[in-house]
Amino acid sequence: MENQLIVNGKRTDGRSPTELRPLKIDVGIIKNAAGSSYIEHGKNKIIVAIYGPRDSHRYGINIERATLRCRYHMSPFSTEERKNPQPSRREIEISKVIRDALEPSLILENFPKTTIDVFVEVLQSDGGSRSASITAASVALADAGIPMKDLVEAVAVGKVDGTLVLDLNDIEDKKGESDMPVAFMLNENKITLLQMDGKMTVEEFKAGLMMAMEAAKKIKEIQKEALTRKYSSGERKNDA
Amino acid sequence: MNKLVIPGDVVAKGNFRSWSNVFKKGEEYFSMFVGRAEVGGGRLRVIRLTGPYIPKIGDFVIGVVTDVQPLAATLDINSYVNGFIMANAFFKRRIDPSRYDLSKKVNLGDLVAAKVQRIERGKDVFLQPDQKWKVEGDAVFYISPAKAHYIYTSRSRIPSKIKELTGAEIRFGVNGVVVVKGDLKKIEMVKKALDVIELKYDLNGLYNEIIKVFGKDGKSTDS
Repeated sequence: MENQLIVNGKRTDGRSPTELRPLKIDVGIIKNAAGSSYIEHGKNKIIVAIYGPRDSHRYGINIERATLRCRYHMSPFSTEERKNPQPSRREIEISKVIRDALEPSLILENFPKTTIDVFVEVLQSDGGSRSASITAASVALADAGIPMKDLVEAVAVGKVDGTLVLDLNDIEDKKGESDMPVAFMLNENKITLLQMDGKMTVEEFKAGLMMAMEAAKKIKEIQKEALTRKYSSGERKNDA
Repeated sequence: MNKLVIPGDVVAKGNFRSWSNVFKKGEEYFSMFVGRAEVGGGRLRVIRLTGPYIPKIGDFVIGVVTDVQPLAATLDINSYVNGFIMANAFFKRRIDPSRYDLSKKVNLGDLVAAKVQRIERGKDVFLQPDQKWKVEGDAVFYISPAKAHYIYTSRSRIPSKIKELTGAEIRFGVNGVVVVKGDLKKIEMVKKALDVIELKYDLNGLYNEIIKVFGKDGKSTDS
């Protein structure tokens, strides 16, 4: 009983298995950046800043379209124990994963031979920081005026104590049986990211995917609401 | 119709003669940007509210000279690409660079008004200097290029109204560069008007908001 993560249908943070953590997005928080956003997803606190498109003379640059670069970084104070600020293997992997999840949504052909930089800084980390980063980065790219087909929203599903759960927190991420972050472009009906740790049956996988898709619809509404708040009619409020 | 749209929103359905800043999928048109959608007269467009200046042929821009070579000058045109003006265009005829010195015409830091003449390989922007290409001013301001583009391409009365209300000599570039000539008071008045453009996202109400800043008598208020 002590080691159980789901007791009487409730998880460690009191949520039901299909419930999202509280989610809040602010847009345009960094004045120097072309676009920016701040997301609080559960205990995750993440800032995303977009710079570019910028003229690039780097060797090997794509002459047909813009090159998207992404840097995911966890601040030394983002975890309970100090995290070495040097990029870890995990951070390098997540940087690539975020870039690959965002790229299909962007129309990069409009800016040949340029670079667009996405900086993701995790101020406080909980489980699912890559999903939260993708959700926030997509909003920041829209704020930067980069042409795109659709917003990208990401969420994780997993298996804890034999039950499918949505939006895993840190403990569930570490002690659960499996974890599957998924990113969607809902209008296009496309999945831009699908990773999985652990094991699920085919039925569980299908049910998990549907659960993630339903959650993505709710996340999209929050993304839209955040952008609408900034651009509806009022004044710019969140300048740092 | 002038509603706020975000990327992926359905702007309209049906057939249109022309459209911009949207992409078509089946019968539906989706927005590519955060912007205001305008539908009417067989035309459909989304006016961007944010984003970099994207050069288009015929745009009137103001740039800062960042490099002068014997055959061309490079300009920062407040975009992700630089603008180039060939030496021939300054001298209005074909010249021999060994006999004519371009640096006698333009120097680093000079402000130059020009039109976008052609864009090659999607990135090399060639400019044609305006008849009054040398821009002199006491202050340079930058406003959001996306909004500047809307203001100048929508036959808006905003630029002329700002000139009229402030009495300052102003040159506006589609790329969001605004050069003001006048005393400190006039410059401050222009800055107030530009702040309204920069801070307000309701494009329909911009004109009235600017008038409001100057009050009924056209004098600046502190509101």
